[in-house]
Amino acid sequence: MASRKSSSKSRDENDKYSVLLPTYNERENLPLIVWLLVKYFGESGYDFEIIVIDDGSPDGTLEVAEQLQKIYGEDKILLRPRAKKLGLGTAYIHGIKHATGNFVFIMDADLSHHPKFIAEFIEKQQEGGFDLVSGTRYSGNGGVYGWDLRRKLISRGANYITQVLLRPGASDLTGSFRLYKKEVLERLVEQCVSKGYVFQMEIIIRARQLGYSIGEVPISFVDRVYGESKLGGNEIVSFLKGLLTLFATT
Amino acid sequence: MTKLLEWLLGVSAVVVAWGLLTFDLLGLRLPQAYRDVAWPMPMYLLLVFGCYSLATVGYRVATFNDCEEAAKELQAQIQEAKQDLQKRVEILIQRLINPGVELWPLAQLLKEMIRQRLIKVCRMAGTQASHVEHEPTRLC
Repeated sequence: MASRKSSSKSRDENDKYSVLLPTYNERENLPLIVWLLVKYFGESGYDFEIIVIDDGSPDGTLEVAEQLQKIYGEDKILLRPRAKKLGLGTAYIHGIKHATGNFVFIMDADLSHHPKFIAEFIEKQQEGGFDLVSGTRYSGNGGVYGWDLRRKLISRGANYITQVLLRPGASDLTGSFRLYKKEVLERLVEQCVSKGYVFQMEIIIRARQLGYSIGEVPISFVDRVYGESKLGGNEIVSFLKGLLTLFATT
Repeated sequence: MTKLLEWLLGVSAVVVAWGLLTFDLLGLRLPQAYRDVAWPMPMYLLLVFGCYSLATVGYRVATFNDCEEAAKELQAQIQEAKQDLQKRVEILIQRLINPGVELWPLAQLLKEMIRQRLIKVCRMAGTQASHVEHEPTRLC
């Protein structure tokens, strides 16, 4: 109770949160995630901006984003598109360059990460002065929706192996709903070389190596509402490859 | 030091300790009972670790939260968001077409008229009008 009270009182008026939304074919989801972000940032009263980094989606995500910009204003929705699909790591670098906030949220645009948790992330960060706050599906009230037994088993198994091999000091390594201090994210992204799931893992590992503090917030993960969720043999193989690479090099 | 090196160090420490005890390389002349315990120890450790791992993963899979509520909440909010966005888009379009005149009330009126008309037509045709009454906007 006490911490909540003090955090709202000590809320720094100058803090601003930039949300990076890398998109590729998210025409259906983008308006919804933006609407939810505006709703929850509006309710909690934090200053924010949403940076949409679209990698040349053929489905017209960018046109939808332009419409949203007209509705919510050019100071709230920033469009920083790129001509083609260039990967997550570079999307973050690209987005950070244009971010005017001193904190950066990273989340998926496919509605699996719910913006209702942003206030909890921010409170957690202020509570412990953390360099990064990571959402976790694996502890506390965290969880998933829409996963069958096979998917749960793979996820828990992969997480267990990772915990044993890397001892990262964070319970959810492959999740990507996180809040970073801007300069911390800049430094981390520079250091990371992996792609996809492994990129998220590497960021946490590098953060530990560099001595950054990590806080955790339990989140519910509702698997893709529109579009296909991807977890095939290829993903598993590339995950294992990435895991072993990190195991051998960090 | 990489995690791989840490593991190699740990494993070799265990192997060395095991070798020393089992083959009595230091000439400690330990009682036979000790050696009998030491000999299969790596196998036991591996088994225990395997069982622990299986139990842990199994328990975690079984207790993995299913966020039914979160999914329902999201679905409801998606509907709310769509309606709100639809409204905003229409207002936006009308402002763009003719900034002076607010067409929104007129559009509403037209929709209502079309709906009433449809219900009448459906009743005359003797079909169920309920889906028209429930989802008028989709038909219009």
